Amino acid sequence: MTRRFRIFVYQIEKILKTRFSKIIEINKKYSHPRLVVNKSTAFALLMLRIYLLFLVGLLIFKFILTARGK
Amino acid sequence: MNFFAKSFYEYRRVWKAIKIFLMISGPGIIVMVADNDAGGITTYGVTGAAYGYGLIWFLVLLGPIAYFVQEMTVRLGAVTKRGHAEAIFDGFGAFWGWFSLLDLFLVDFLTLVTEFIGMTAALSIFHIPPVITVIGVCIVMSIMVLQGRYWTWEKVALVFCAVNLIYIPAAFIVHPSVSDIIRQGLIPNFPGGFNNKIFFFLMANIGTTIAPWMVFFQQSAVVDKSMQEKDILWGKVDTMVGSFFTVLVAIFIVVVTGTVLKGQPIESAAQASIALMKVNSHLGTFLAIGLFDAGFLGAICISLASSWAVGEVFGWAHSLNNKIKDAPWFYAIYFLTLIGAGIVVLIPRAPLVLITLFVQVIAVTLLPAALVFLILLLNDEKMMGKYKNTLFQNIVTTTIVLGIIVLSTLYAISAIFPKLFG
Repeated sequence: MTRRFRIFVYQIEKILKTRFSKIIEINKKYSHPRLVVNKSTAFALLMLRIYLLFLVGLLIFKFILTARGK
Repeated sequence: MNFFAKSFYEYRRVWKAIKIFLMISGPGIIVMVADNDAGGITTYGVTGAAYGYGLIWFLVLLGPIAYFVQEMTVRLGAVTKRGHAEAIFDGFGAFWGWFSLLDLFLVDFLTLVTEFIGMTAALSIFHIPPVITVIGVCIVMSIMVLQGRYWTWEKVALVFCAVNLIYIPAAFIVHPSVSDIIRQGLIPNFPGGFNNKIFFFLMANIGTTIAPWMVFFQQSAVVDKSMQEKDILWGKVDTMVGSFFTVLVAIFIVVVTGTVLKGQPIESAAQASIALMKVNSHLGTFLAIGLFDAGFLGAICISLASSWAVGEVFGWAHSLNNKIKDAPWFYAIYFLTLIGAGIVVLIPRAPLVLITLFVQVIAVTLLPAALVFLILLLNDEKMMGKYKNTLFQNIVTTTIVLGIIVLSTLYAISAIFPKLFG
């Protein structure tokens, strides 16, 4: 049982390492974006994203309230 | 003689154009009609019951909006030969790429859940248990993708698109008053005034007409179909035909429920089908079949949108033309999202109708993020050349983005302060 569990953990580790190495590889591949956006545009994009996620958070809050029947 | 020769030449020219269109068409029609998915049918059905014909003008407005957004993906896909996820990674780097991919995955999964909700609800009207529906749908959808060709998949999907038109004869059964439709439906108005209910319905209707998954899906489908720059014009026609049908079907659903069920407390398309069966059994059956078809069509497109996007980014084989042994991850993601969404629907006592409507609103809230990247990519002259956005296209698409942000904000405000708008 322990040996089987160790093999299972080893396999999972192996898969995760392969996956993470793939993610690192993707990050490296796209580390120099082709479109150069200036700092103010990048800031605006980030703010828009945060704002939209905030709105989604509010929607989830509203959903929970509605689902509870309040 | 000259007349006959000219006529024959014209006939040959038109017939050739039709043949080219039939070859190129597919991604635009499928994405647009699949847009009338289970969530869409529910939203339109409930809109008709709540406001009668009052919001038809808004649906008419959504047609060109959907076209302007989606035709950008045709140009981007045909020029870059890249799916949307890969285009974002390439254009804006990994940080924004991961953000977009996560957005897509979240919204796709939630929307896929709503497709299963629609399908199980539709078949439960015919006394088929949800678990059988989920298993059956997963099997049929597996067969569809495992036959190993994009072309076959596309033609099968087009058959399901044709079934979506079932709402058109349904509307003729209820004998609506055309003058009422024109008078109440085509003149812009906000029935009941500005309040959080109408914001919710406007948002849900936008969310069901344009959604982030559609952007990713159509661009990937254009690439998978190997469309070239010379095909862009036909790709645009394909998208235009699709947007026409999506709005047409939406209007007919609103006409059906607006004529028969106006003022009744209808919360879902399945409930509307049952109510309509009491009026006319054919009508209710039409609505139920349409609801199942819409859910099925939505599910096959949405699950593919996720698989394509992840495959593009991770560099895995990601085409329907690949066999399962050549693209194992592509198909693994497809099946996992499909089965995962199916399982969610089987959770006892989950508020399925509420989930359906809220998913549309969440999708539209996240839409501007996807559209901003799309507009920026389409303005890259180096990449797009003569296919870059014109000033007019930029004005239209930017207005759409700003409109959605304003509407999302108003809805959020109305959610926090429900009494503010009355």
